[in-house]
Amino acid sequence: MINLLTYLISLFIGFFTIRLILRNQPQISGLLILCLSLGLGLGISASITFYSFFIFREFNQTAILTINIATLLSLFITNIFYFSSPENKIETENQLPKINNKFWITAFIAWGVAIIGISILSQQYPSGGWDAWGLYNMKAKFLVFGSERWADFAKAHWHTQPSYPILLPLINTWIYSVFQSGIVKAASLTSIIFSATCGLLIYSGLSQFIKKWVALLASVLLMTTPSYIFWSTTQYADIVLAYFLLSSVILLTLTMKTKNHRFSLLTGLFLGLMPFAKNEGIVMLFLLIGLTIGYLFLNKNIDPDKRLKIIKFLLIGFACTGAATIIFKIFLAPSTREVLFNPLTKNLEFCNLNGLLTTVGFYGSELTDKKWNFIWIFIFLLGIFKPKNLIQNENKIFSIFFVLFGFILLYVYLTTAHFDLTWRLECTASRIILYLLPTALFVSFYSFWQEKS
Amino acid sequence: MSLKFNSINMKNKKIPYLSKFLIGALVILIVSNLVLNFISIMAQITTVANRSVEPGFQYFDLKEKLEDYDIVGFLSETTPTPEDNDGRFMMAQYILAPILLDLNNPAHHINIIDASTPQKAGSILSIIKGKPIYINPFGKIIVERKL
Repeated sequence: MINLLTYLISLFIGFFTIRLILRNQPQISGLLILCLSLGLGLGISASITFYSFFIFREFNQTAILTINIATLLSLFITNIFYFSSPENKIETENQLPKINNKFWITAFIAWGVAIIGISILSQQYPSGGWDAWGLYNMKAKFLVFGSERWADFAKAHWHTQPSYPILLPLINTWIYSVFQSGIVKAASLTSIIFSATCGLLIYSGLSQFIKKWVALLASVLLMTTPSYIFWSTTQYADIVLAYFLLSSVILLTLTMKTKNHRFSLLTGLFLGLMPFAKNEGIVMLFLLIGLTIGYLFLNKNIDPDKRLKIIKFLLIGFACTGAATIIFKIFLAPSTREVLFNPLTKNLEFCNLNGLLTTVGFYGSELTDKKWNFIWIFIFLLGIFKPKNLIQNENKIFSIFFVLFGFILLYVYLTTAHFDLTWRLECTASRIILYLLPTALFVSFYSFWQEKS
Repeated sequence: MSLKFNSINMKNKKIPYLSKFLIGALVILIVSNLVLNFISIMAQITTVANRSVEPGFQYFDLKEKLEDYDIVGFLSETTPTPEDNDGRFMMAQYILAPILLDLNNPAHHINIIDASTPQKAGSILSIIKGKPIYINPFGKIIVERKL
């Protein structure tokens, strides 16, 4: 539990960064800022840890801690100077929110029960699932104990997926670095924190746009879904990707609603961390950036100067956090042999109608499986009842994103050359469904319950 | 500017039947989730399962014997494909990290032999012409061979 103090350092790094970016306008809810701060802060701390390996050529506890504390202090001091200037003062008059005691007591009880449940159930496998110890925690061990051979994880056998991005091992290395109370303990706490934060993020994001009670129900539904709890607490990177995808989509919605470049910068920062979490994040990043730019250019109601400013800040934000992934991919990671190969050079035994039916059928049965307890059926119902809403305004971006991502997944499955298709589906489908779930839930609730402005 | 897009007062607005139905369904789903989770928690508490054992504990004591080496061979009678991967190599790599294991490549001075039977371990030993220097209680053998 002492590790929680380390998460607090990252939380404040993220909080002061977001405050500097958003300045005094426009204001979003405190809970949304907190939920975003945690992820951004952990992303920044992990990136600092990553760069420290290149500078000091090994795990250097003092350096990692010093740079993180220095970052925190400099952000704090910048915030003080910045907000002491009169034009940046946050207006508080007439803005005190009406506190609805009944609502907040219910919300805290519901979230408390859900978080306790997540914490208990996360102990089903204290060392995490197969990929947790075999991939992520193993890499964290190389980072922490490898001295000058810290990068040797990239030379390990391909069963250990050396090309997988290392945001999660770096977060756990950073958490471990302060109190050194065990990598597995850090990994377990990280998974619990991301599971809970994703749930709170659903509420805080949705409550900007729809009724608070409905947003709360969506949040509790996610946090109590058995398969969500199981897969998000296995210490895999899927929940980290789920968090950054959801954050990016919420911030993208705010960007489109306000046409404010500050939100666009923040969106870029979160988008840039997605590829550092998992390889699928690279695809998601390009899809979301491409669709956003396309939407902005096709939407004639947006002022051309504003349009360019939004795109510029989106790309600046992505460049800031995405640099770590580019460095990782260029200097450390071997190529991903399972995906990046020329399909014409292989005998693709599953690239036929049978492979298509197997893949679609498998996903159909997975989505309707009782372990997801009808949550996906509920999401589809929301889409079916108001299908027009799914293609209105910024919802177009998200709907097309899901469709294109589905097609890319299908391509990857049908061009399976190194494995058996059914085995690959069994290993990946639940996890893909997990990282898409929070965003799908957000988009479906947002499109169904959003009030006409 | 305060950013709030749901400014419509709920009290003055009729909730459509469809929304009522969906909110009812949501509540039912949450309650059933809670029941399922309660059952899982009770099963977790009452089941005597030894899940606290760290994966790869069978290889743990090899670590101190190998601490001077950056890379060692990991030899087994099987060549695990992803589908038939029983995890032995993965567990060994996890527990022995940051020592790098080279799967089924005997071109190292030090190798670990992890076979399912002593006979199979013996045949690997004779093929690589190695000399056992340590055998642990789980039958994992550290072998030295001349290069």
